[in-house]
Amino acid sequence: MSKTILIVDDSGTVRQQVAMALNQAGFKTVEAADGQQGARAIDSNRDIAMVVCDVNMPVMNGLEMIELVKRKPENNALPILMLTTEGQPALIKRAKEAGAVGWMVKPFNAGQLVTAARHLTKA
Amino acid sequence: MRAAHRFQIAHALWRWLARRRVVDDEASPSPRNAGARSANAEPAALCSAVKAAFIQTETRVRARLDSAISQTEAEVLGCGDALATLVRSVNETIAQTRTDAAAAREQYEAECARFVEGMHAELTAQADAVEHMHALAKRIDDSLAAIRELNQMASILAINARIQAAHFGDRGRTFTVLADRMGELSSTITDSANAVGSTVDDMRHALPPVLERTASMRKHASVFIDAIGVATHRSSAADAATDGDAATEGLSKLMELSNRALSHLQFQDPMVQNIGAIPRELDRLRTNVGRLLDGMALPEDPSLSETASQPEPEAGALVMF
Repeated sequence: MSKTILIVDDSGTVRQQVAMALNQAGFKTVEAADGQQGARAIDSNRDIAMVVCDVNMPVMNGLEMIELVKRKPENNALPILMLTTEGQPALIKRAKEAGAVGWMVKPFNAGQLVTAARHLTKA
Repeated sequence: MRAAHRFQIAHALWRWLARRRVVDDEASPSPRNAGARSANAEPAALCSAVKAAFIQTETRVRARLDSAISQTEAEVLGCGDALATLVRSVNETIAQTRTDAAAAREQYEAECARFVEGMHAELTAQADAVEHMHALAKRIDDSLAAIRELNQMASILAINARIQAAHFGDRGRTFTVLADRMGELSSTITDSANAVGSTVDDMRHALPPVLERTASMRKHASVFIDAIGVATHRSSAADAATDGDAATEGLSKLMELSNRALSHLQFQDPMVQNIGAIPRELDRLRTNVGRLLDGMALPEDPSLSETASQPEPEAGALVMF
């Protein structure tokens, strides 16, 4: 059965590109345009096996979303991979401490993303 | 002819008819029976008997012939029915073959249509992306103008801070630190703004070929649709059971066109790299502007001193924790 991945990014083009790469690899995808929508999607859809999340977004940024989501014990094992233009070590450190499992810098390599998704969604 | 001789002939004839069961042998004009009759029976009566025997024979033969003809007619009719059934069966098979061929043709057309629709969707998405880049470039230009103005203010503040530091001497060390930090930030902002501006110029120069290639791909898609129409027309006009060559030729043409069109997609990767750098630079710029506006707090931030020496990952890099 296909695994479902949540894509959280305020850019429609980026969501489309990431979804295309993951769909071609056999994953189902759902999308959210900011951290608040992403947190709501995680709460309402228990099929989500992984999250790909941008950092800089309106309403709620990616780091705030991770911190909010990881407060709930049922989300402890949910892998969240950051996909962002940022590369500052301080942000990477903060994401790691908040519970993210990895950090990928845009523009992303589709093959690398798919490999990471397959690895992180293995049951 | 002597009467006895004629009698012998009649008797022989009667015997012959008796052997063929045409007449009753008991009634034959045999010599034994001749005693029961007058030896002087009239030849006319004998001829009448022979004639009756012939008529009887003819009747029986006709009956047998009629029976044989009726039977043969029945058999012929039966064969006709079987033949008609066979012809119906063959026609049904031909009709089914045509139906199957039509269904296969529909499926082929549906798949081609799906392929072209997918390509159209991709082209539309590309066109949207290009328009988005145009809008982004405009916003970046506006942001750069505001940031340059802000940078000027920062430079002025740094200068003022140095003046105050010079005025207060040792007590003005804080102003010196402030001036140094603001000077560094101002310099960083200048570098980032210049990098963004340069990238925007590169993007502007790169856009027209992108638009041309997008138009070319749209044209290829139109050719696809025309080719599908031609192939469809041919396969509709020809007998699907006997004109497979027309369908094969149409398919080969479509495959050739699809390969040519798909090869144009390979131009995307360098473009994506260049365009992807713009938001990165802009985010970096936004962060640095934020630091500038926050003022003093940032130099005290311990996380910066811990991580300041760590290199930033390159574009496309993946760091797993």
